Amino acid sequence: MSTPTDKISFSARQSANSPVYDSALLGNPAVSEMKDLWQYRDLLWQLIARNIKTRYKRSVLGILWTMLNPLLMMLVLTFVFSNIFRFQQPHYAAYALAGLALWNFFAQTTTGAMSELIWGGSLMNKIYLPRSIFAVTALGTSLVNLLLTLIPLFVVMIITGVPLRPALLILPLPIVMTAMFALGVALVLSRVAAYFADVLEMYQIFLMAWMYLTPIIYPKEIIPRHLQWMFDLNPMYHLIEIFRAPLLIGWLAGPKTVLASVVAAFVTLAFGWWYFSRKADELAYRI
Amino acid sequence: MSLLTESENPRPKDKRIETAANDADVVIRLENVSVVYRAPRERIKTFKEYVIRKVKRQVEHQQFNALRDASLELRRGEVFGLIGHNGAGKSTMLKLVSRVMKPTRGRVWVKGKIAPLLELGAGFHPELSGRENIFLNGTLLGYSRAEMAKLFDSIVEFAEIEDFIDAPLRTYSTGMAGRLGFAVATATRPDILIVDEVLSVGDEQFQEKCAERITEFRRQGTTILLVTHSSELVQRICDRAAWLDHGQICSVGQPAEIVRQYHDRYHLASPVSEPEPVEGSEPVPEEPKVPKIIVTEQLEEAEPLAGESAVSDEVRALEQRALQKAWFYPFALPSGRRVECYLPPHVAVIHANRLAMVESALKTTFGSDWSQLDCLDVGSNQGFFSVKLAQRGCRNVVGLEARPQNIEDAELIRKMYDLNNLSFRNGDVTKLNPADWPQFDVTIMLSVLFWLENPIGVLRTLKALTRHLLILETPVAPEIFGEMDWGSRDVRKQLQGSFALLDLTEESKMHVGSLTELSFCPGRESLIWLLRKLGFSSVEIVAPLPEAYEQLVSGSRVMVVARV
Repeated sequence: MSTPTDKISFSARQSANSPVYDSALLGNPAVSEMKDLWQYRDLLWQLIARNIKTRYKRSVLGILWTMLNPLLMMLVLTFVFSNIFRFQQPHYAAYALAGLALWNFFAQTTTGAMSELIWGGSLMNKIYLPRSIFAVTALGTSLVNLLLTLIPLFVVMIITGVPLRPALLILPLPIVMTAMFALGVALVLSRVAAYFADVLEMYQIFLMAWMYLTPIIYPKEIIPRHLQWMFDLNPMYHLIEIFRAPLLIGWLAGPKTVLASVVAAFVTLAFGWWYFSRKADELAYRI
Repeated sequence: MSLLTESENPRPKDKRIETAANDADVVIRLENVSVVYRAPRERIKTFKEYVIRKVKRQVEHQQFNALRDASLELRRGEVFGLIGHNGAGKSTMLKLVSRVMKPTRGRVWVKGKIAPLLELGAGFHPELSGRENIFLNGTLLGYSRAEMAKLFDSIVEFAEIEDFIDAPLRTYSTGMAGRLGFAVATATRPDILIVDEVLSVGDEQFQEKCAERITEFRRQGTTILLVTHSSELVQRICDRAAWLDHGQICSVGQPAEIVRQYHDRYHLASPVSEPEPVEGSEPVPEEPKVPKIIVTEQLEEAEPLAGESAVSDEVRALEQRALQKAWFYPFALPSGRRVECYLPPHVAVIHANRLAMVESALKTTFGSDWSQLDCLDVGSNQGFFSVKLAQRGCRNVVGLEARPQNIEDAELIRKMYDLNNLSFRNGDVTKLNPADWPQFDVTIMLSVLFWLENPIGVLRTLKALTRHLLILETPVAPEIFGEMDWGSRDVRKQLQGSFALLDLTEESKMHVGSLTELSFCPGRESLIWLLRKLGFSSVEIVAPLPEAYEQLVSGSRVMVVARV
């Protein structure tokens, strides 16, 4: 007779002791999705490495481009906003670059998850893979890019006279919070994108609007006081704030912002994971 | 109660748990498995459209039963074949076994490591090197990095790509990529190997190497699950087979028996079933349609011949001329002599087979009195079938033939037998205007369709010329099924069949066969579908006698009877 201990994941790792797959013993989809993702962690590394390698293999500047790209963007923005709009934002260059880096991390994760899932469609039809691996791959790839942009960010800080303080050590916290939030959003989007072809396109327009409604390249003070509530409702505003605080102020952001970020991260990821894994099996024949 | 009745009525479901525990040899078990897809009735392509319809409450869902109550057990070391048309549930079955899909109802139980033989290069990245692709592909198949590192050398050696291992995959030939794909997929012996369609990798030598490896796996106990359209392959390599139709397992057993049943019953079953509407209730499984088949009877030999002495001088003179000619058909002459047929005997037998099949078809429809029938024989060649129909008493028989030489030969035979109910006309069916012709009760066109470059046009012409029955006989092309992109990636069209394009430049110079240098030959399902589409009320296959010409028996050549 079968017992719950028979719930062995169906992977080559157990090839030595003959794995058994029994559809009657599959547990909670959200939990088994997580276990399977762990089983396939080596594939995750391979997919991330593939993305990084293929992105740089055929370009002359190679990996430097990841760092140059936001740097050039920042130079343009600094010129436009400091000289033409004359913002009263101290250390505007570092402010804008930090905001852009975190925003790009979020945007690349969410859009990348959809393209990865569509790329994987033909494979998912033939072999079993944890479906969440595509969103997590997109997250890992953008995380590598984010870490690479931190290098020019630190250089700009040094050049523009922003001190590098010990508070930088808490940077992993805002990055993890943003990663959780981005993954949650990415999972919801990729399930919807599997059903409808126009989701990626619509999302890109939405993303553009969202970016301009978030104080990334402009200081939040330029928005009139009666519209400031807009920022309070925007999770990306809070996440960017907790990311900038250790860089620019040298300490944590206010407690309200930290709390909002943590709640947004956990709630979004939990919902996204549940929503995605609930119908993950259907994705194979939807794409 | 006798023991016999006891064993004939095994208790259906209760014993499944016992067998799960007892039978150590079973590696795959499906227990009353059903798969139901739920999809919007109309294909909703965009999110915008979905939202609008949702708001208007216009989204109707329907269910599609990809698999119904299927139960099956596969044992260690056997080669098991699944046959059936597209949409029959074969790939759903593979997906269940490889865990890509979960059953809606029932239970799927699989013991051991599964390896799918993917299409060549699925999962490969062109920019990455062979080395990097080996690791990527291996981890996709569920190996860990460490395992791949151990297997690496043997994979490279087997794929014979040592010198190119660090070159990007885009520089590989198709053969090299295919070899690499096969080497990774079979790097360790799986307990179950899934092969979808026929595998052909690289050159003959490498194919042999692949076959050797698979044979070795099998000897060591690997179960092979093969899905294919080719019943020939199933018969050749499988130990057991199952035939699926409309999501149901119709039968399981010896490959030869399964293939026979499949052939007998499937040519005429309706194509992929339409999805059924949701009505809250459980959909009732429908019995697969049993198509009608005309059974060919063994007919008695032709009428006794007169003998040499009894024929007139005039006829003897005609016979003399006939005996000096080369003939496509083994005509018997009034005196009892036979003309020399230039076809080898094992091919020439086809004429007698076809004659028996045509006669069976006519008998099924019109009984044995054909004296009221007007018949048209399209592409009558040297008039073999026209002569036979005229001899069997049809009221009026017309042979239509494009080559004057053939008509001259046919006239010789007609005169010998003095057949006043038979005439030949020179003409090309592809250029014939039905308005200029009368209708015929029966139209036959044997071995002509596959020489034509406009088969659909000709079938329309034949439809217009035929009052009751059209009998076609032709080799048929291999077919593809499925869907194709149509207009945009969101619009897909179901294929109803396919045609093969053939180069007949050489044949067009011969004295039989094509008049054009190209032909467009339909597959069997395409032909059947097309005839229905052109308005024939029923289309049936004529079953050949078991000892008939090999092409007729294997199904690469068919005789079809279409009723107006």
